[in-house]
Amino acid sequence: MTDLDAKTGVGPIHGPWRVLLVDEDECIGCRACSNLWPEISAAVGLSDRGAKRTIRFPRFIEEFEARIAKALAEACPTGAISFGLADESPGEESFALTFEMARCRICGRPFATKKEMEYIQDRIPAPVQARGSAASWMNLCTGCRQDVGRKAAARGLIVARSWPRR
Amino acid sequence: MEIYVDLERCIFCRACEVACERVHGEARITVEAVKDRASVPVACHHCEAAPCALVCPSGALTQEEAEVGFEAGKCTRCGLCVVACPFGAVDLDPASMVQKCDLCPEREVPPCVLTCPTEALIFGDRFEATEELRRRAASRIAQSYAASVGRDRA
Repeated sequence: MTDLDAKTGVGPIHGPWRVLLVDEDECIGCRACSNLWPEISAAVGLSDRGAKRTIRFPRFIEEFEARIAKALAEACPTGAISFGLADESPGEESFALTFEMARCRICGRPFATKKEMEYIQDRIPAPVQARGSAASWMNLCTGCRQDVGRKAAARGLIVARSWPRR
Repeated sequence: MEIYVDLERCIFCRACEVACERVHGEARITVEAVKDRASVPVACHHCEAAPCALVCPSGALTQEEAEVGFEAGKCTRCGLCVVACPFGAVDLDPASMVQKCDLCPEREVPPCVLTCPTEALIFGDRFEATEELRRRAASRIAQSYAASVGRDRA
C-alpha cells in the first residue's frame, strides 16, 4: 500500500462511511481540487468576495468512487486532502476554509491567496523574485505584469517615435 | 527555439492573436498598444529556470533547455503557474484549460509567426534571432543615413 492509498483509504478502508478531510494548515486555497472534477464543483462553493477566498468542501463523499478520491488527493499540490472515517470527524455536511488574498500593488485587485504566494516564494530562486526592489513583479496581478513589461519594452521605441520629424 | 519580437515592425494588426486562437481555441499571445506609439505582443518567454515549471506540482509544465513545454493531460488547473509567471503570460480561465504558448511542437513554424504580415515575429534560437534583429537595425540606420545625405545634397 502506498502513502496515497493510505490517505485515500483505498485498500482496507472503503465504502460509504468515508469523509473528506482537509488539512487547514497545508491547504493553500489554489482550487485544484474543485477544478479537477466538474461534478463536484457545485459542492465546492467558491467566493472571491472582498479580499477573502472561501472554499466549501463537502464532508461526506459516499457518492464518490475510490478513484475520484485518489485523484483529488493526487491533484492537491500540498497533500492537504485525505479521507477518514465518519465517526472520527465532526458530523457537519460541509465545511469551509477561508483565505486572505494578496492585492495587486498597482490596480488593487486581489489576485492570489497569501498562502499561494508563500508556496511560490519557497520555490522560485530569490534573484528571480526581485523582492524588495521597486521592480518586483511578485506583488502584481497578471494584467499589471503584462502592462509593466510592455511599457518597459516600448520605452525606447516611444522616445524614437516621439522625436519631431523634419 | 523561441518566438522573438521586432517591436519596430509590429503594426498592431493582431493577426498573430487570430492565428493562435484558430489553432488553440484561445489566443496565447496578446498585443496591446502602449501610449498609441508602439504595440507590444506578449507570449510565453520560455524562460531558463522558468518559475511556472518550478512551481507546477503535477509535472504538466516542463523545462526542456530553452523551451517550456506544457502537457494538458497532466494539468490539475491549480493556477499556481499563473501566479508564478513574471510576465503574466500564462492564462487560466476558470471554465477552461491553462493557456500558455507551447511553440506548436507538432508544426515546423508556429502559425502566429507564419501569419505576421510584417515578419515582426521571429522564430529561432536566440543567436538566429539576435542576428536577424541586428541585421534589420543596421539596415534601418543605413537607410536613414542615406536619406539624410540625399536631403543635404538636394
